[in-house]
Amino acid sequence: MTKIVTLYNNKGGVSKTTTLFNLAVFLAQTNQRVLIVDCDPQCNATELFFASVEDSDSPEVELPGTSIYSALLPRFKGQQAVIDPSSVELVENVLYPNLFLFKGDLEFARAETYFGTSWNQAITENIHEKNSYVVFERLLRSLGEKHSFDYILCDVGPSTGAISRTVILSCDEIVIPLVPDRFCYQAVKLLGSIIKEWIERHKVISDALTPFEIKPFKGEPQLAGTVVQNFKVHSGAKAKQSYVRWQDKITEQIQASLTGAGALTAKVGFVPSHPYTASIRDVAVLAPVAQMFGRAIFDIQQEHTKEASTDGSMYYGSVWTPWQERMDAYKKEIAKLAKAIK
Amino acid sequence: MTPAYTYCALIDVLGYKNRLAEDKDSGEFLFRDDLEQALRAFDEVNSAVFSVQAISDTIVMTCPAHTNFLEFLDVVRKVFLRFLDRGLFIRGAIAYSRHFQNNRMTYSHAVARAYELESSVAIYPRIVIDENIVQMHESGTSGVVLKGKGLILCQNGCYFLSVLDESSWSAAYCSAAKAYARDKATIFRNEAALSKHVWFEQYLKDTSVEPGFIPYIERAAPY
Repeated sequence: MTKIVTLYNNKGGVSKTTTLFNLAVFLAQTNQRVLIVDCDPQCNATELFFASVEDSDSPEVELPGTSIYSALLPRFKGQQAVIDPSSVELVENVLYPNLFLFKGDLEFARAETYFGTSWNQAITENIHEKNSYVVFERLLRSLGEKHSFDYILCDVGPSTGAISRTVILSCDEIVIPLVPDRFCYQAVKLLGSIIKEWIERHKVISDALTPFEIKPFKGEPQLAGTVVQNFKVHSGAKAKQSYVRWQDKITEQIQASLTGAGALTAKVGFVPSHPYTASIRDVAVLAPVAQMFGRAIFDIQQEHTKEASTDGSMYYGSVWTPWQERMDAYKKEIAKLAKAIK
Repeated sequence: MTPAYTYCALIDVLGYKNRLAEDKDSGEFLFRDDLEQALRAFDEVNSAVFSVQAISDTIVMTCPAHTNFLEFLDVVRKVFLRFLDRGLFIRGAIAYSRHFQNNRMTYSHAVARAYELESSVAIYPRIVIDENIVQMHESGTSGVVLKGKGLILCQNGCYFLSVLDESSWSAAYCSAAKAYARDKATIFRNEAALSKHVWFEQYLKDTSVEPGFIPYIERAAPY
């Protein structure tokens, strides 16, 4: 059965998309069939996915595949009760077999209104809104079944809006990317209770679906892990103290607010007192180089370092070795995330 | 107790106030007799499954399960014809939502929805069916098939119960014609009241299987 996972934090700039893409590549390289669903109207995951394709960033080039918005539009417009997964054309990555994309769409921002309305109205006798309420989860499950995906990874924007809510409730598990700073600390304080409120409301809505012959979905994502990243380290690879302090404060909040009473249910194996499934240090120049070629950060080839050097020459020897070490270290942390969502 | 999901038909007797006033003025009880006869339709209703409450000009009928829904539609259809037989038009709507009632009170989202449809959508002597009910049964998972069964008509996006068939048509025509003749004086210069007769006459015409339909409502004449 397909597992649907999202990396979510309502705070921006915590490397949600980058981590998700790298996790997806890692899983695909370990013989898992993976679908990335770009649910963020900013479409960064889509850009990253197609970055390995020549001319993909040219405005004249129409990217292949069905966009998430055009797939769901017949439901939003009331033209179809259920979206047929056969109507959705997915795109396979040119570099990484087993990795597919359900591409994003700038217009998907309009779904905020559709999902927002269904959130309010699905509890009434309005069948149209009930069908719109369940359409996203239904479509992902049917795509998972049709294409035998092991994982569907949903990329969402940093908001607590209707799209994020729909995606999160549709997931089996959530991983929370964090950065050790004040803003993330504030976000973590709120996140658990916000998601819990969604889950409670979903239960009430679900009770209003069954009598109308509409099967509700589970809507109870579990916290599978957190990943702390972008922290700076001393030359001895030890995190700088200022980051450690914020990390400790965030740890307290994870226990008290994120997984405490009235908050998220932790997956078996997740230990709130030691919540960091993976710790990723600042990857510096590796990220932009990887983005340039649409590759995983741990999969940058030596030839790609030309883009990082000032004179366009490739890195060798003692300059290239630290890159390899960083890539290896990064991959190990991504492997931990993969294990957490297994 | 949590209100359960229930089908609810809210039916309004059209012209109730006028007919009541006629009885009052004449000192007779013709309307009461008609009403009494029409309400006998409920004597045949399976009270173990369906509940009926009639207060003044409003009748509320409920059906608790999908499995009885087609039977429920048939009951409502028979009620419509029984009222028509006594020269009474009824107008109503069927909705599906939460409903609770006991001896003292009725708490019902279904009645509220049916009332909304009855008062704003039905307009004419017909029983409107909430579009949500139609859509709900389109998937087929409920075991109720409405499409292609001739049970429901759709016009201008409005779904309503098909009450006439070959066996009931002639009697319905006679009753409707008689009701028009009876009401002619009271509907004079009352376009809203006339429109109900006109609509039903058109419905009779549309469902007539014999050629040469004879209109019973006076046509517009040159001045």
